[in-house]
Amino acid sequence: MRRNESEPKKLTGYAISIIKNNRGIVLMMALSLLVLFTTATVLYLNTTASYFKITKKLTYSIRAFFLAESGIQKTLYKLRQIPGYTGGEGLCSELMPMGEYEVDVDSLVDGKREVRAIGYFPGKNIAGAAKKEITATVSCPAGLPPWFYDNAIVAGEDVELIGGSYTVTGGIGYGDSIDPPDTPNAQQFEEDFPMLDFKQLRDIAISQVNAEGQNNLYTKNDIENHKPFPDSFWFDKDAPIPHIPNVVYVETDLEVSGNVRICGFYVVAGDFITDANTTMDGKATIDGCVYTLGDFEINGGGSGLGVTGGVWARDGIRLNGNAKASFTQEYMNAIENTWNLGVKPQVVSWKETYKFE
Amino acid sequence: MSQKNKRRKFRAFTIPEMLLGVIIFALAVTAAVNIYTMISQLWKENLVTNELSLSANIAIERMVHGKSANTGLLAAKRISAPLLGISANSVDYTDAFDVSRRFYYSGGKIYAEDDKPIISNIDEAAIALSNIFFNIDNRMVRIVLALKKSVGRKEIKLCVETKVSLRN
Repeated sequence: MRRNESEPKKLTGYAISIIKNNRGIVLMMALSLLVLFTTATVLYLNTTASYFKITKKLTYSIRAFFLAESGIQKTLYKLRQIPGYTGGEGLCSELMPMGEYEVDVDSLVDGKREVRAIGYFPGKNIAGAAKKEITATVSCPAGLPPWFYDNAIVAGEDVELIGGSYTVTGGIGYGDSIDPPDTPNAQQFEEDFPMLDFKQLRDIAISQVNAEGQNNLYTKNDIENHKPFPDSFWFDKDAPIPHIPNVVYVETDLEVSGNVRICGFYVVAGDFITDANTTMDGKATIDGCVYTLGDFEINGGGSGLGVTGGVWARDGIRLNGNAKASFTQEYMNAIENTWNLGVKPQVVSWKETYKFE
Repeated sequence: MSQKNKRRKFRAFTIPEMLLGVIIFALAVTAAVNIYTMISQLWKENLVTNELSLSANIAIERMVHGKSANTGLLAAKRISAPLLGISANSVDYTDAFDVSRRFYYSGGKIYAEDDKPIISNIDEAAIALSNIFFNIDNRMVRIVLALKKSVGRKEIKLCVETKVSLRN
């Protein structure tokens, strides 16, 4: 009889015998276990390989990040050396045994340059290389801002005037905010607070040696040992006009307290201290001007407490109690006309940029 | 059914079958143990590499930027050790506030100036500084941090480097 093709095939005699006598079951179980074991091993190896890739990426990313930061730092160095530096050096590796970075420097817009540095590890053209990008804005002003010599107090951040006993004779400039907000003669500026060329100022301070053989450089030791400050704003007060101001270069925090009067153009913190603070208490007076890279604070005190020439503080200015800050045109003119103070490029903002490609 | 017929129906494995089974089982177990050991070692190496990467990141960040503003090498007034271009297990510098600071390796840890470890659990560390550009008012140094840790017989090494424009 012909078998209908649509009917399922019947089991052959050999297959029936395997099932009936259980003789192949061990083989089947062994094979199943082997398949299970192999699958588990492959999955385990796969997971391990993924973790390896993650670790490799992390390690490469960290190296690429620091290479990108190298690019920013090198560009800052170059901009300080060559004011018109525009980058374009292509891939750099220099002393780096592995890894590369490249830097783009945008053209000058509003006194600022955008610097983009990309770090690659182990190399740009190597498959699987990590790439990290940092963008920094570098302020590269051609000179001092127009308001620099025009105000009694200038703060890069906030001005805080507390109570009603303070006196500010002259204009007020601020970068972020002022309290009270309706203070007269106050103006917000848009430019970055200028970072002076401290080497120039330090050299001037060292070169100004008085009759006692003492120069105007004040190290931390000098401050601790109470090295006397100049007693006149003018370095050559006995010489014919125009006089030259004393440039007093203080490498550490300047604290003036008690019934003292010190004179000169005080550059506080020098070129390597950015957060030094200038604090005045008691009846102290600075007959002259102060440029500080940190905060400037006057706390309470009696009559005569304050600064007569003008104050620049990169951070904030806080006047509390019977504090006085005045603007003296003669002092400002003397500083402006005696030296052409240089301003150096500084990084004003920094961010890591992500691009999903 | 006779005893003879029963024995024939449920007969045991033969010696060659047993031997083959045992050999295959032994091979499978050995392979499994070897694979497990190898992967475990790779896992450990991977974890250590991960740990070293993160440690190097923390250490370099701390050295360059400091614990607080202007206390790291970025704001250093001067670097006294190691001598430029020479590798050492410590770095000494004077920060922006004229405070002497140092980072040093000792007993599996890198310490900051306050004798608190910033990273730990490493076997060896070296810090090298090289002068890239130098003049009196504008200075840049290259900082290389090399870390080493053993996993079993294998040594995991990691080297991270960057450049810093010193404040002037």
